[in-house]
Amino acid sequence: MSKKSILLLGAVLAIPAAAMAQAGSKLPVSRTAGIQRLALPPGQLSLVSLPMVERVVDSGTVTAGPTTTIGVTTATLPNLTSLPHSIQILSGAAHGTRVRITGSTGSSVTVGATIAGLAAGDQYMIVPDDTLASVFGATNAVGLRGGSGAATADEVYIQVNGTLTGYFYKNSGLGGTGWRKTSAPTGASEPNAPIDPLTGVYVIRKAGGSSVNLDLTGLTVTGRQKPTVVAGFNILSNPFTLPTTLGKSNLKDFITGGSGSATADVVYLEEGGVLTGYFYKSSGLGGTGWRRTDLPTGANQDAVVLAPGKAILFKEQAGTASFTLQEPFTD
Amino acid sequence: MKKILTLLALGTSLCASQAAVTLNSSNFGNGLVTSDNLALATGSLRFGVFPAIFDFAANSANLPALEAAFVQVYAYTGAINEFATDGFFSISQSIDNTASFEGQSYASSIAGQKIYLWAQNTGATQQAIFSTSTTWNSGVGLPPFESNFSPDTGAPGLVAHIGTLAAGQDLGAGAPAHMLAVVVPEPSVTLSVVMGGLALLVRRRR
Repeated sequence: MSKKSILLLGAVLAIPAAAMAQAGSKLPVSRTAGIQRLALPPGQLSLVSLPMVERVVDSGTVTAGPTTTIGVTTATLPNLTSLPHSIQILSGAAHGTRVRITGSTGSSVTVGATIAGLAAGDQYMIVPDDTLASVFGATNAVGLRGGSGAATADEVYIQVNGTLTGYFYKNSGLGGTGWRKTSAPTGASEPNAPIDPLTGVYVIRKAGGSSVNLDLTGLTVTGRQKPTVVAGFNILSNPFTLPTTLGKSNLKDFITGGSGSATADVVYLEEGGVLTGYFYKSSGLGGTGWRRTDLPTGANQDAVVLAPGKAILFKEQAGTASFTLQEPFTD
Repeated sequence: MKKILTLLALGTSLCASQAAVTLNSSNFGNGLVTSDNLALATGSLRFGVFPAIFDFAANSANLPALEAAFVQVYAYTGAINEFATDGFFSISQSIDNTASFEGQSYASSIAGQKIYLWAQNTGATQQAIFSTSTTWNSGVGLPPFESNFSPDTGAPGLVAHIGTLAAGQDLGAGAPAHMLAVVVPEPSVTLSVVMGGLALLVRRRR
């Protein structure tokens, strides 16, 4: 973890899985629970990771796949659609994939697209997805600056079905209060706007005022994480509570490298409100390794830290759209 | 070369709308050679925009027409050399997105347009013009405010409007270099010069 990191990752309590949730004991991995505190200073941007899940609603073994309808061993699934939920695959070729559930019946769930590599026998878990309300509070309990519009309020960008969408907390002016789209300040309040699985939050705080703390609680997740990425920018959550580096992460094996920042995917990391871009130089003059987008002839950047608590702004712009983050030192 | 360039210290800082965007550009995947297949050691690298409907084929030798159509945002002139190897460049340049370039407002006329690289040898007797799908960043909205442009093979939408892709020797990139084309005067221009010369000669004899 960087010295300048403001992340206070404390009180991560190891709690046996069996004590956590009714389905947790069926999981093939041990789990911990805890709290992550991240300061959001005024006047700067922050890339916020959402590393924890509130609870494990269900887990078991896939009985049929891969199609958009996935059979599971649980006989009667609970309601999974009135609030957003997703299914994460915990083994097999699709290990790490987590996608939103769009429908469910007794013992099967429906997802938007076929999960490549999924096969009967693979293990899964079903978890609630984060929403604006679950992260920041339905009435902005975190204390971001509200306003009558996005020009004066702090802005929160999340991915909704692959699209970056801006929100702010409207607390004054005509049209009531609540979480509104920056593009539609008079539109409906959307506290339950669903944040795409395995993605983070991009917060822009206006200048002035004081820092606020974002406390996230829940179960930490383990094993590799494989979010769905789309062309262009993706705010991807780094769910791990241990720091790793660009070099140690093996991220280069799951994204597209190139001769320069224009022919490779780009990973933007935030520290102290400053974004720095990195790409994996895999060809051309000047050797291979991680390089800064603004210093492609500069030093190798393999030692740059992927800090816990910080999301990754990933620009998918070359090759096949893909991204996988392995659990540090275990995956 | 990079020493004389203005580098942004550390990526891009926050602002919903800020007064600078960053152009990052390099060509380590191919490099550039002249028409006689020698590394382009010196010359100019001009970054800007051409009109989307500009007819490069018809104007490839018409430098005045090319100049008139081109809006230059940034240019570098000097040695083209990186890693002690001719033919390669690396640029990171801060661009004022509130400024105007050749009378064109960056915000209203350049942002969002495709980036063109016009490479010329010293003396501008040879040239190549490239574009990709990369556009000039507006500097408005969500950071990062940077445009990463490269004429390397594999860059999405790469086109050599003038010059030839991957037609030269391997300069050390592990792939053929892109080749500049000789600026051949148009027949009409040549004819005008000849006729003008003849007219001058006739006038002197009189």
